[in-house]
Amino acid sequence: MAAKVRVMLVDDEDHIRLFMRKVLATMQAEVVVEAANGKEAIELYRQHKPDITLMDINMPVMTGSDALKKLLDEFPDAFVIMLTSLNTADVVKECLIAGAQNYIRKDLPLPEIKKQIRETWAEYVKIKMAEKSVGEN
Amino acid sequence: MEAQRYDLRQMRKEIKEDETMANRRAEDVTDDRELSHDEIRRLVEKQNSSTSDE
Repeated sequence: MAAKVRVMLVDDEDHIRLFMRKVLATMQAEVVVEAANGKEAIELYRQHKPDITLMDINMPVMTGSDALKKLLDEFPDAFVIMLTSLNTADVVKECLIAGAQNYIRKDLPLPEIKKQIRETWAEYVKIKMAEKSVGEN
Repeated sequence: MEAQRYDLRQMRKEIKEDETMANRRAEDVTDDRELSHDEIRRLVEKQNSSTSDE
């Protein structure tokens, strides 16, 4: 049986985290930790090292885009998917240039959100397999 | 008199050019267009392919 994807959910809205937790449970994914803002996300990432982080942008204390940059400074291999309602070109480009693996709008139909998360997960697995193969050779 | 008219024309032309340059710079700095799902998807794919090429 394939290992479950270990996910960190970062969103200041409880109901979104609850919803995504239920969605991820249907996708061979396990939510190992949840954070309500960017600062908390960085602290919890250090402790739990999730495979994938689903990150909202508009949050108190520290935004998701600031947290993304700080997280990737410290953990360049972190796999972060932005999951947000924001869709302005500046914000999307800022996150992608900073290193987000994907950028998903929350108003996408659920099957499409799941499909995009799966695709990013597949990319993560591919990279990890390649790293493992290089390590063995 | 003719020389003054020329100076004025030249000055206007330069002001216009400055405004055009300033507008171009402003466009480079801010892009607050709202992107559709497809536009975001294309940007993600473009960014990921450029990252994997490096």
